[in-house]
Amino acid sequence: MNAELLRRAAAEYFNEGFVYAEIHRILENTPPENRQAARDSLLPPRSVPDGCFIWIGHLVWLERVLEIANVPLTAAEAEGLLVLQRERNRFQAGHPPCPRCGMPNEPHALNCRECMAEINR
Amino acid sequence: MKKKTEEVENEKAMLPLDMPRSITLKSGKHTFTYHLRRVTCADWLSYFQGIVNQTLQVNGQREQVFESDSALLELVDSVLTDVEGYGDIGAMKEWRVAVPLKYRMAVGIALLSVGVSKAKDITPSLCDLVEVTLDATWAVGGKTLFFSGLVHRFRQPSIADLKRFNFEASRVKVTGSAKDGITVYPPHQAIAMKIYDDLIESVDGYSVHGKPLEGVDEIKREMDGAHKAKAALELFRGEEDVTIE
Repeated sequence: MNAELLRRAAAEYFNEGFVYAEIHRILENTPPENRQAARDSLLPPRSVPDGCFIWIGHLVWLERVLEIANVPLTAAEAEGLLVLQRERNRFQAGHPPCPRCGMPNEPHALNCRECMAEINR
Repeated sequence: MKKKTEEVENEKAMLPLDMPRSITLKSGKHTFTYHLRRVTCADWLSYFQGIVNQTLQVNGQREQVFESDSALLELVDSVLTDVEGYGDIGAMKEWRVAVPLKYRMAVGIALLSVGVSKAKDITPSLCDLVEVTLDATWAVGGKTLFFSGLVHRFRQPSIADLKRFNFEASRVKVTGSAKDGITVYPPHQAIAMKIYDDLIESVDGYSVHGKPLEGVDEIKREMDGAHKAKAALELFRGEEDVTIE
């Protein structure tokens, strides 16, 4: 897979994860027949084809497996894991964790979006 | 057309993998019998790889494309050796193409007739091997017989096996952008057939030359590709009906 496509998919994957909890709360209070439309409008737009996210899903799974077991990697997997790590670092730098609950927040947030604790900037 | 196939409960008999298959279809007063050569694993691989499974994104709109009929027709055409019920076809060069599409599709659907057993009396137990039980119909001598309790025993998949399955299943082909792009998904059955050969240990309920199928090499060589794919995919299917009480 094209490295630039992969990088953008990884960045969008972390952004989707960031807004997921909030979207989930909204969807819980949305009638079932409107959920799909609500989900489509709330999720950040994707700039890469869906297939890239299938590969990202495999890399995320692989990352977890590598914490408990030693499995041989293909070159594409090793390269993909490095891209994923770089984009995670970039995301975390742009979304500092709440000092109380650890949830990532917008860099300008004054209160945590999860536990509402005050964030000193 | 209303298809009618004779179905026989056939619990003790073994499924004869090497017997010539002939499928009889009835339509009104007419009976047609389709004779097939053995469907090899290469035939099945070609069929699975011919299934079109894509997501098209055009102007930001997503469209899922799944088309397997063409591949199924190609499979039927490649294994069909003779037909009865249409009179003398000896003089025809392209008699396969002349067979009505709906009957060729019906034959293809009969070839695909295998599924994970729905039997409720199978008690789960912990053991060294993983058992997958299939039910299938198999047409022999113009009669479609129903075989239940076809057992496939696999060694426990390792993390490396699971990783290999996930890796192969995630190898999508991607072109274009999210606005105008195509994602082509790989056929999981083709991957499963390969993994079947790596993990299979023994089977019950199948025969070749009238004798039970035994030994890993014989199973790998003789087992039907659709049965391989169905059984191996079951190994990697997540639990769907588990609740915490």
